[in-house]
Amino acid sequence: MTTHDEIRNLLGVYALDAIDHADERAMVETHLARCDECREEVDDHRSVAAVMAQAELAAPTDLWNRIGSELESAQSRRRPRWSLIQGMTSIAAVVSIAAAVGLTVLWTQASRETEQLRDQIAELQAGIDQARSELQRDPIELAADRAAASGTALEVTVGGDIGTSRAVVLPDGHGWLTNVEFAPLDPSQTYQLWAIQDGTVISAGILGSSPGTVAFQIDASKLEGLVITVEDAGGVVSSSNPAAAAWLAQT
Amino acid sequence: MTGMALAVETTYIAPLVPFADHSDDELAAVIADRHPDAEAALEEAYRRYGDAVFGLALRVIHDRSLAEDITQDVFVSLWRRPDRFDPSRGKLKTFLLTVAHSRAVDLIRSEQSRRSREEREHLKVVRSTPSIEDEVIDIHMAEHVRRALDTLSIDERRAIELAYFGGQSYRQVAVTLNEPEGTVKSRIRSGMKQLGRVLEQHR
Repeated sequence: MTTHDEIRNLLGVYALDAIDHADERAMVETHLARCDECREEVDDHRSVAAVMAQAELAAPTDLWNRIGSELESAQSRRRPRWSLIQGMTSIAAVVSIAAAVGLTVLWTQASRETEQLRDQIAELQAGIDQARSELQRDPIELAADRAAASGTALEVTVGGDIGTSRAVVLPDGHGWLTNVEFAPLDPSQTYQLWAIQDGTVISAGILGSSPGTVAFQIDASKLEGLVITVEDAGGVVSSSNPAAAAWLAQT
Repeated sequence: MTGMALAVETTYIAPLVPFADHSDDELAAVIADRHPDAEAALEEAYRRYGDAVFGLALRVIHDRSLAEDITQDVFVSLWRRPDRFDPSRGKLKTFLLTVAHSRAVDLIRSEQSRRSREEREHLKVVRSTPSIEDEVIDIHMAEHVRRALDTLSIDERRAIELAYFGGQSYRQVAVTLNEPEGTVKSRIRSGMKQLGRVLEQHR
């Protein structure tokens, strides 16, 4: 059982995003949800941090244009949502009129309208879901796609018993694991990524039990392979477990 | 007749920069209300804090293209989920920087290769040049921040800088500084409180 003092001791590091264990972070968040005093302290730390971040480098001039074009696609996604809400309001209106007047004819008509509206809503929802999945893409995933499209990147499949993922590595050593379709592990375990470089195996990242897209950094000039192992949560410095998925360069 | 012409004219008078005279909270409200000019309000928010968001992201992640992605992400998420900003809990700038910092740290944690960590430690902290458009108050504030940081003990200051600008977890900070984790936790907290007290005096 954690005491209030123990939680309080974590408020500074929590506000600075310096807690890397998800369960420890969740513990603080649970506490913050019901403790005004601690929430205020975190808010204070964050505003101090924001003041501390005075270092203002000029953002690239074309960045707003990028954001603006993203908004246009977000806008086309949002419009159906408004009509969705209007649709729901109409259903509510139709149903309440029917209840008040109590006429069978009206009720039948209402349910037909309700049916039609429901179909329309389902259609809109499908459109929204599709648009959302496209728009909510991870920036890391987008970076990987851009890198792969540059044509100078190594793009390979890391696969094995656990499933497959796509790895993209740039000549400067920036790498991404995307389209990760590994079977989820028990939370007490984690996938770990290893790079074989110049005959040595080096940890390139702890991926968690149900990994999504991740970025990593390696020495691309010496890359001979990428290997995934299953380890206890937290990962290991060197592994004695067999490869659960791998890509090996042709020698 | 003259009166009519005047009426028409006033209808079309618009400020040179839309929303330039709005407070941050007003901007956020326009965005949240999905006002027809919400996009212009977001652009104004970007004009005010785009550089700060980008600067912090770059300082933590040391990669311009990722810092751009983070900046884009921060403003697009304000656009999509304006309800996440609660003016009663702090300023818009704090909110945007909090989101940017957490995204940057997430990216760092996801590329926890030992090699890249070593490389990062050798990278120098990127020094910023205040942009010309910075308000005078910000220049004063920057001076206050420097003075406030000077009131911290060297241990508090290093721990805070490693965590906030280095994106390190307190466990990593403890390893870097060769200190117990508990000490690092309380140092960061006491340092942040001290900074808050000093900055409060200058407000």
